[in-house]
Amino acid sequence: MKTKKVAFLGMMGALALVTGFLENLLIPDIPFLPVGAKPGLSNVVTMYVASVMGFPGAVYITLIKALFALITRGATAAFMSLCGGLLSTVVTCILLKFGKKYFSFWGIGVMSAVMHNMGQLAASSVISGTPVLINYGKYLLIFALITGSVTGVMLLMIVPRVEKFTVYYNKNNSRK
Amino acid sequence: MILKLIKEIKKGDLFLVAVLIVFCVLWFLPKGGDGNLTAEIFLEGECVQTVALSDLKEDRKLTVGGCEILLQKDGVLFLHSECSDKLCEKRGKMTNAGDAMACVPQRVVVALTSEKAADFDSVVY
Repeated sequence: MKTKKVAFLGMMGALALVTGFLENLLIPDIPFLPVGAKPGLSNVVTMYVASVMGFPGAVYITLIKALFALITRGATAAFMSLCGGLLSTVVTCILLKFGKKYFSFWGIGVMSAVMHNMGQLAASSVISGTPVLINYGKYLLIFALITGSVTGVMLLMIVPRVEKFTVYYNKNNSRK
Repeated sequence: MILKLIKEIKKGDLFLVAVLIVFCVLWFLPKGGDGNLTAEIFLEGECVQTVALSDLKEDRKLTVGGCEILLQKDGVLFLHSECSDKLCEKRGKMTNAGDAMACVPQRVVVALTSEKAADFDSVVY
């Protein structure tokens, strides 16, 4: 069972990094993008892992993403990635656990994107030492609504298609 | 396909998105002010300089930390920064009161405010 977990997390971690890298290539083609904002496609992977493995797996993916940011983009980017990632992961997991009755992946995706941005904004406020940056949040918020909807709808479409995979993972887990 | 997706949507989703949209609209509503822009420049959390942009006769360059900032009559922009991602330079010119921009790695923040006219007509030294 443990081997399966390692393999699954490794695969999902790689997938998160690749989608993160691919979205960097996409950024110039997206109009009206606030500076520094990203579509957050790798959030699809984090949310999928959160829904299959729960909190520990999702945190693992978040840490991998932060580590990758540290290696490729430096300490500031890593800290921002970590703060946004952790906050959004915590909220996503809470919603997945207690809010599934009221929220589909659309709402969860939006909430996750909003929390990711707020976490990053808080991190940048801490680093720069002044809270005035909070006002940039309005641009990020409006954008999080859009990107969160995109990632949420992507999940709604993807999850049924990878159902076999999910079932396969869960089956071997429950047998122990 | 789309019909199937619409069926998945639950009440909480719509509620959440509606609340966020209202919140966004409220946040975007223009704040009061007399249109006279003031730039506040912060380095490592301290306000190191306050410049009334409307009083500027010509463009002014400032070097704060590792950043070069250009102050103009109608806005502020980052000319150059020693950081790695250059996001601050890409942000371009900021012209609206209430906006803020930063070079986070250099810990430099610029905020634009538009205070209501002071109680005095003028101050004479």
